Parts: sequence; structure tokens; C-alpha cells
Amino acid sequence: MGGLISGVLLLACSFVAQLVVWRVRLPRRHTHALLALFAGVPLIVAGVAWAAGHAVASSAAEAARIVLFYGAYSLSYIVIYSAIENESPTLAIVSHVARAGPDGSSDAELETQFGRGTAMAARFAVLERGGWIRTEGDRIVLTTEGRTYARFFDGAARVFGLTLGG
Amino acid sequence: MSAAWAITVSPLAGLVADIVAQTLCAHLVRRTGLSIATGGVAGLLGTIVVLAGVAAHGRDGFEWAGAVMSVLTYFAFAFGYWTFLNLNITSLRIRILREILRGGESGISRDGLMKRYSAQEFLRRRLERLEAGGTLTHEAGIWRLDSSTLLMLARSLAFARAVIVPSQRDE
Repeated sequence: MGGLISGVLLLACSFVAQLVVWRVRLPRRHTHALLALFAGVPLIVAGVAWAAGHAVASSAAEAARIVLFYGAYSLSYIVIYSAIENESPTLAIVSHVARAGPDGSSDAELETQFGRGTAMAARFAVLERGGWIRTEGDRIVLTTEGRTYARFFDGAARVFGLTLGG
Repeated sequence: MSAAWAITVSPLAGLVADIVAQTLCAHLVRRTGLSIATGGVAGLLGTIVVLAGVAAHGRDGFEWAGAVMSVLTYFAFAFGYWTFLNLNITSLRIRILREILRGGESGISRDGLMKRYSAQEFLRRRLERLEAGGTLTHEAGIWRLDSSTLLMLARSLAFARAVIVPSQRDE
């Protein structure tokens, strides 16, 4: 049970560290900052434990189990963080219809609320800010980083049998 | 391999089973939702089979706490994989990246992409998915909530946003 407790405590430390950092200075690139934070906190905790003279009692297999547990939950959190950072349009539609109650929401209301929006423009801005695309005149081109991600997701969609979404 | 290491690698075996089963099902049956569910179940079974194998062989050192931790780790892997697949299906940002990639080195025109993927198209795709998934019903031009699962998710994420992201909370 010690391994599970260690893993949960490490996740809690990283989460608290994120809360502190986010309040001191909100990072420009949240995902990169989260990756650095969740990778760095266990190293700092291990360093502090070593400096304080606490012996590491785990076997190699148990240590690997903690790394897998911590890594899997950290990455899952980082993946869902984008949904925390910005409300998903799909969930915004669900919330809007729920607020309408039993009377429901008409096609026209939804069209007014979500069908005239600037979803694409907002996404362009996020991608440009993240350094994935840049505008050249009236054309949009991928940066080197954006091309890498685009190829990765395009390849993954082919391998895993997924259609063009959005 | 020792019992301790077999327990440790069991969630990785589960993840591999999840990916293989989902990929095969997606190409053979061509139903995304079914393929994801099949993969998830196959992965859990894969993890449990490895753990059961360790326990059944009566090797010294089988730890229930380690086994529980491995199953929990598999759940996180499966969730991560599901989210990754879901991103490909629903994310507008990934759709834009893939559209630009298809445009080649010179990229694509902003106006062209705006026309191909209008706000109406954006709304229509989401409403179709919500209706197909049983979240919303559509009768006589009126949309109503049929299942509150996604609503609970929306409220949970809104709470998390208020706690975690200070700029959102202060607005």
C-alpha cells in the first residue's frame, strides 16, 4: 500500500505546486508548464527526502510501479487540463440546453448562441499563440512544431481508424 | 520475470491490449464508439489476466496492494488513450492542423477554411454527436436534455476551472 500512497502524495504535491505557480504567474504556455512541473516535482521531492536522510525503502519493481502510476495520472490530468482551461463548445451547448429546462432550446436559439460564433477565429488565435501556425498574408501555414504535431495526429488518425473530426 | 515485476508491467500489457483491440475493431467494424469500448474492456481483461496469472502460479510475493495499484494505473492509461482518440474526433484545433497539413507547404487560405468549416457546420456536427450519444433529444425543432452525464462533467470542469485557473475565476 506504500507505493499507492507515495504515488497519490506525489500527485498531490504536483497539483499544489501548480496552484501556487498559477497564482504567482500564469504561464503563457500552460501545457509546457504543466509537463515541466509534473516532471520536476517528483525529482525535487526525491532530492529533499534524500537530503533529509530518508532512505528509499522501495524495491526496483515497486519504484517502477510508482513511476508508472504517477506518470499515467499526470499525463491524464495534463490531457484533460485543456478542457479545464477553456470550456469545450460541446459542453457549453449541453449547459445551455440544461439551463433552458423542460421547455428546451429551439434550433434558432442554438443557432444564435453557437452558430454565429467565432470558434474558428478563436482556435486560430490559440494555435498562433502556441507557436503551431503563423499567418502569411491571407494564408495560414504550419510552423515546424505545428507540422510535427499535425503529422502525428494525422498518422494516428489513419492507424487508429478515426475520421477527420472537429 | 518475478511476481513483483509481472505486477508492475501488467498495466502496460493492458494498454497494449487496449490499443490493439481498438485498432482492429475500428478497421474491421468501422464504428468508433464500439472500437473504443472494446479496446477499454480488452485492456482491463489483459491487465487482470496477467495479475491472475501471477496469483494462480502461486509465486511468492504476489501483493494485493500492488495489483490494485496496477489496475488503477491501467484505468489512467485507458483514460489517457480514450482522451487521445477523442481529441482526434472532436478537437477543432487538431482538425485545423490536419487541414493545413493537407494544404501542403504553402498552407491554406484562411477564408477557404472558414467557408469549409462554418459556425453552422461547427454547431451541426456537435448537435449530431450529442443526439447520437443520447445526451440531447430533438423533437419539433426543440432540443432537450435527455442524459445529465455530460452536464455533470461540464459542472465538474467549471468547478475545477474556478479552483485552478485564477484568471477565469476573477473574471
